[in-house]
Amino acid sequence: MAERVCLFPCGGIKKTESTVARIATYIVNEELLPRQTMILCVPAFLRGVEEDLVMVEDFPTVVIDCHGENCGTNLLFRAGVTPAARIFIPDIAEVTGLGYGSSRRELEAEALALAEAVAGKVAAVCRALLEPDYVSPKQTIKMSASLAQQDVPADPFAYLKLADGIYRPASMPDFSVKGVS
Amino acid sequence: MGEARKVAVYPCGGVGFVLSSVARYAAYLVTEDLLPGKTEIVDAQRLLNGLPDEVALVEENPTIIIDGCGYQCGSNLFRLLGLKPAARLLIPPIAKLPATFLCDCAGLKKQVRLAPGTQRRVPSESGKNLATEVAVRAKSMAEGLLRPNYRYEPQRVRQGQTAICGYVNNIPEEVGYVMIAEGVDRPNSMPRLDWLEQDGGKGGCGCGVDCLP
Repeated sequence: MAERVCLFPCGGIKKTESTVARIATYIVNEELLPRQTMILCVPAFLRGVEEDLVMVEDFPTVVIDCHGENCGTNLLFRAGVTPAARIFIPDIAEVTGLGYGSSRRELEAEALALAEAVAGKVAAVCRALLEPDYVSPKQTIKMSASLAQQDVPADPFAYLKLADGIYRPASMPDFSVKGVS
Repeated sequence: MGEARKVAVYPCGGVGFVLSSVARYAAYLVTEDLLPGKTEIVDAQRLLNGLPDEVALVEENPTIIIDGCGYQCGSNLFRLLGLKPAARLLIPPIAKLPATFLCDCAGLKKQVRLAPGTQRRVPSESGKNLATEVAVRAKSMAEGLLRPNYRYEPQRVRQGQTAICGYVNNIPEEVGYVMIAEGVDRPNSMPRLDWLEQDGGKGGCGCGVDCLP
């Protein structure tokens, strides 16, 4: 049984979508599931900061991709880490009809509503991963990787769609997302 | 080697610490308000993902790194990529300095608090003050890098496999930073920042901002 879940918002900064991912992560970590979630900081992870290494090796990770560029997913693939689940924000934007707005610094009301919708999905997945019957396989970080090169295959984890915006790598344990639209 | 037309601004890219939110906010202030069109924010995730426009941004233009905290993850990422920034701003020492972005005629500087605060989503008032101070310093730095007498040699991102996730004790030593002023450094292999280093590397008045002629 996992005691906590590692949240990995893509960590981007250029697109408004990445702000939605980051704010959604803070909502989960600070309001919805405090003490049951941790946030992965990629620069610290690559820096070798112990807590960021431990959180992806010993706990299930939910990666939040904000865009079809799949930066979050691809980074994990480079590091040899398979996420337990993936949230894909464009799917959620489409089904909710909510937009990203144009402000990267502070989200506008509609984008904030989208972040809240994303946070709801993330929290639902986390609750499923925290169930006693979910067994999270231990991960081992690959200590060398190619960086800044376009060499990751398309869909490297062969994601299976479980619900709108929610995916699971084909090689990872299944989990129930009942009640999540 | 040639004249720089744009300056890349890379805030450390963290999400966990409040200081990374201050770094990010400062980068938005520089690139959107203070020097739009002449500066561009670096997205670490797109860069790591090898997206051509992001790679070209850091290869073809001088970069100012804004490191949020003592881990100096922004500088470390450039180290992993085999790149050298033109300059680096480190926020904690800047937070201890007096604010320079306000006129002091009404004694405002003494009233302004430069502190990261506790809000990660959007920095608090004191966090925004600190971000503004960092942004003003980054703007001044970028203006210097855009002068005709600053010559930038394009760089290339390291190809092949790189060791990742290994802890390095002394980032300034690994990068080869020389301190120019409090919170302002440059790699010793990169061109001098003459407008800041005229005072034997101490940087004019020491603030790194008001030294531009």
